[in-house]
Amino acid sequence: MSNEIPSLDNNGAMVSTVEKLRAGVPVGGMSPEADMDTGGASYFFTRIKKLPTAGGSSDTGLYFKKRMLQRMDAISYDHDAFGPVRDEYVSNHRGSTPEEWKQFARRGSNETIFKYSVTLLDNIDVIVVGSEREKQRLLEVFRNRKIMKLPDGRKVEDIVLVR
Amino acid sequence: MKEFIEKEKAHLQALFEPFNTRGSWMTLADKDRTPVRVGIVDGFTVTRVAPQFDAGGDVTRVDFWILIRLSGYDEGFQHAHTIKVVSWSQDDTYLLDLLDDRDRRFHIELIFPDQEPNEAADWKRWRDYKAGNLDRFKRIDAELLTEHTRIAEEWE
Repeated sequence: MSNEIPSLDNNGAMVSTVEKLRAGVPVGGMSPEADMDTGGASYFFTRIKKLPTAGGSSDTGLYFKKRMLQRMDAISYDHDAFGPVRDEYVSNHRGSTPEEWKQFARRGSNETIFKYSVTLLDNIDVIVVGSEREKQRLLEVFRNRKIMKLPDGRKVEDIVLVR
Repeated sequence: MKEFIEKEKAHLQALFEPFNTRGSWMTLADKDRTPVRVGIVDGFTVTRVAPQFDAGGDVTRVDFWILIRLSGYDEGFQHAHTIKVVSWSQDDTYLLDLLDDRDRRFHIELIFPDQEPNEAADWKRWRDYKAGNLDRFKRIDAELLTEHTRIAEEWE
């Protein structure tokens, strides 16, 4: 995300490949086919990481609220599963307790997927950027959309952190 | 030891160069399952090498970690993968089979334009797209390599 500011069109929803295709959102060079056969294309992909504000990762990126793991459609694996959501793979490999999620966070290639989409403004916890300049550019994007506060009451400038 | 690892890493990377240069497609099969087509692969990068020794200090096998970037990987981090390869085989120069530590088999084949015109056209379109966005991909590639090298190094 270092040079690219996320778009806030459509409430800044993070969407799956299938949703992009359904909505006619143009993809750049090629629509990845990797997860079409496995069902993963209907999902938005994330990883579990300890929050930067809790002494965890300082990687740039979007950090969503922990409560999202409680969504019924959230599927967490401790490994890079290449997105399968078919047959018994989910029931055999899914982690669904806080203890398991904590354990998964220790493995860099863990994955948690959400059906179709995740809306940004009501689910974002913090955004980590690489420099003060990027922070200012990002805040400008929010300002241009007249978004000064998040639905949970926090100021946008307070949730954008510089690595 | 460091020299051995660097040499082995270069040797393994060379194995993938024809696939990186000419384009390839890949399937993935979980143990006892039908293979699933993963798609056209942009490239393979060996990120870590771990030789295994017997009691006498001789190398018995070399495990390695590889970053696999699928075409379209700029659409999301889920299209870049790190796997730990515990064995590999190559029956012919145009194909390669990898077995990872989860017992998954990755089958890779070079694209032959005369026999696979659709794949060849996709490969060319993808390469043209990358060539037209060099700065963007330079940044994405650097970030992916950093992240996936760390994933490989932290692998238990």
